Amino acid sequence: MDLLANVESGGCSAKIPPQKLQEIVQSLKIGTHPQLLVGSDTCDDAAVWKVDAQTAVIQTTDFFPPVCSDPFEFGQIAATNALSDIYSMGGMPSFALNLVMFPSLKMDISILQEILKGGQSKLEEAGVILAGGHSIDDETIKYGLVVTGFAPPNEIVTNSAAQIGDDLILTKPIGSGIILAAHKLGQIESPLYRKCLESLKVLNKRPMEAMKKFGIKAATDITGFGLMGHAMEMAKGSNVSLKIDIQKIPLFEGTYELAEKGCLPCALFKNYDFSSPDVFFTEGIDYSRKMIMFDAQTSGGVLLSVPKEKSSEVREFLGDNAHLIGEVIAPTEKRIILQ
Amino acid sequence: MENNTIDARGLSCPQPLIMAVDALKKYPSFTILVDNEVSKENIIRVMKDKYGIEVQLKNDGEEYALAIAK
Repeated sequence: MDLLANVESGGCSAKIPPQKLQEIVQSLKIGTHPQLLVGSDTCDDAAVWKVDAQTAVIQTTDFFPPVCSDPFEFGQIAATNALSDIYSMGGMPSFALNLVMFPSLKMDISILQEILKGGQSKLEEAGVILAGGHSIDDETIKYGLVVTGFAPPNEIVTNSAAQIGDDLILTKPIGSGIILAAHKLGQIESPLYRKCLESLKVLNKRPMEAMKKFGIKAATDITGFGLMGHAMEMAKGSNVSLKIDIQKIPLFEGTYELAEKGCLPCALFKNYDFSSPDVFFTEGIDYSRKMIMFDAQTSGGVLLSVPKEKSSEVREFLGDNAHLIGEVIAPTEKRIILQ
Repeated sequence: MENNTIDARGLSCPQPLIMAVDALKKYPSFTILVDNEVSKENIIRVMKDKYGIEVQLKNDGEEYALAIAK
C-alpha cells in the first residue's frame, strides 16, 4: 500500500497559504495574558504559558497528510515534526496526544496501526509519553500530534530574541519539499529519496541541548513556510535583518538538479509570494537556488541565532549537520539580505 | 511553424512545469495544455523569470493553451 497514491500535497506543503491564513487570523481576537509568554503575535513555533517562576508549559500541535509511501515512516516523520516545535523553543517534550484522520471504511485499519506505531517509536526515542488521542473518519489520511513540554521560563527560546552580531546556524539541509514531490512523480532515484527521509526522522533534540548548554536565546524550526519564511519571522520578531549566504545553505543531494528540471511544488511559489517582498536578492543569484530557499520543508532543522563568541563551540557540539549560513545585522529596508 | 503540443491536462503541480521545462530543451517552440490555474501561473512565471520568455496565452477558460517560443 503506497500512502501517496491519493495524496495531493503531503507534509507541511499542505499548509494553507500564509497570505490566506494571515487575513483570517488578523480578524480573530487573540488573547493576551500576563502568563502567556509566547502567543501567536510573533508567529513562533509553540505557545508558552508561565505556571510559576520555575515552570513554563510549552504546547504545540501539528498534523498533515502522508509525505512518504510507508505508513510506519510517515508516523515517524509526523511525530518528529510535531516534537520539533517543543525542541525549538528550548523545551523538553513530556507527553503527547495523537490526532488522526483516517478512511476506515476504505482502507485496512492495520495501515493506521503502522502509522501510530511509527509515531510512538519516535515518542519513545524522545522519552515522551503517549497519553491519548482523537480520531475522525475522513476521506484522506492525516496524522500528527499535540505535544506538551516544559522549561524554566527564563530558558524559553523564541524566534524574537536574535541579537545583532549573532551567527546563524542551520542544522538540516533544505529541499525536502522538492525531493518528496519528485518521489511522488518518480523523478528521483531511491538512494537520494532515502537519504532525505532519514534526515526528516532525526529529532531536533540535539539543537535543543545546544540551546541549554550554550544559553542560546533565539531559534526557530524550518517547516512549511520554507527557510525564507521562517527566517523572516525571526527577523521581524527580533526587529533585525538577517544576512544569509545562499552558497552556504546545505541542500539535500539532488535538490538543485530537480529544481533545474522544473520540479518546483506549488507550496514553494505560495511561500515565495508571501516572503520575497521582504528579501533583498543580490544581483546575479541563480534562479533555481533562489527558489529552493522558499521550498516548504517537513520536519526541517533548526535555525539558531548564536552569539558569535559561542558559534564555533556550538557547531562543534552539533557536528557535521551544523552549517554557518549568515549573521544577524541591524534592521535594513529588507528583513533578509540573500547574497 | 512547428506544431509540438504537450498535453499536461489532468496533471497536478509540479508535473506540468517539469514537462514545460523539458519541452523547452527539445523544441524551439511548443504549446502546452493545462487545465488548472496554478500550473498555468507557475509555468508563465518560470518561463519569464528564469528564461526571459513571454508566454502567449492562446485561449482562456477552463483549459489553457500556453504557446512558448525561445
